[in-house]
Amino acid sequence: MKTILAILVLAFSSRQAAAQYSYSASLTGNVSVYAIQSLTFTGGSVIPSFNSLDDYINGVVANNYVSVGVKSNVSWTLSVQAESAFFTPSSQSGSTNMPCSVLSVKQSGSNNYIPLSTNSQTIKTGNKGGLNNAGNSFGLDLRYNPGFMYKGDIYNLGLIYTLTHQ
Amino acid sequence: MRELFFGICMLFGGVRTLAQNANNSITVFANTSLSFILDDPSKMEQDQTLNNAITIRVASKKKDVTVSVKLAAFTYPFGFVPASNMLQIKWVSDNSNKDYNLVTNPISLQALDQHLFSQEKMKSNVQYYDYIYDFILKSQGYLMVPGNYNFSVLFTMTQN
Repeated sequence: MKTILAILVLAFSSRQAAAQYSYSASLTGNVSVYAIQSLTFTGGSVIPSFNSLDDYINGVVANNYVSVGVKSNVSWTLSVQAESAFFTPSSQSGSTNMPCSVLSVKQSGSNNYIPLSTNSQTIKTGNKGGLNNAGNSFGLDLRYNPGFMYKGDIYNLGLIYTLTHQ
Repeated sequence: MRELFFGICMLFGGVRTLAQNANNSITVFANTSLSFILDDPSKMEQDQTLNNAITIRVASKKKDVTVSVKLAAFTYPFGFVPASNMLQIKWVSDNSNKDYNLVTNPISLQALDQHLFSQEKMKSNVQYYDYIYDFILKSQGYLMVPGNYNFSVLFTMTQN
């Protein structure tokens, strides 16, 4: 027992003699991150012309009528809705009963046009990231297909795009 | 007997880590709260710097000392993958004429100790020297998910 204790004391003493004394101090901090989303549009002012019979039969398409950029630190959903149920004619001679559903929208490159309504409808979903993240920068296509039911005029309709987190 | 040996070792370790005497000391001050609030896109996209945020006060009256820093603890929300350069400190100034091997470039905080500077033994009429540092949160883009990120930074002075 004495021998063991002596060894321990010797070991203790020798380490202390060669020790590099270390003293420490610390600081604490934090980062508070909120859910952050940003939506940008480039372009978007489109006035399609109906100049031929074919335009009235098949409608007019505006490919990539707007470029959309999403920045988000959460998974996101982009939806669209019409501001009103009917187009507003620019003159009194225009039709007041042209529904917003004659206008359809889709993501460029996809196949499914979504007829507009005053209810919000999902156009695209994506993952967190900036503009360089895959799927966070894309174009939208519009298709106008009023048929032969409405009088000639310039018609207006507001679209509301909403970015939310999933 | 094993318990006795373990007890002695613990005592020995405790003395080395926690002791601080009149000859050698390190004191660290936060001159401003080490807090960042990221609540708009510009803050997510740009580095956030707390200027002159930290003062390291070092007395080395007995021998040369070396000061190092490490990230002692870091907790973050589920789903976030921390980058190695997320938190940095950067030397700004000091009033020491005894420093050497001073790192003036930004230092990314990691779990392992990283050298900040060394300081020669001071003259007896000097109390301490102060070293001032910026504290930097590097932009992680939109990869930082919402939530609270808490960290602890440990500064260690080792007597040479």
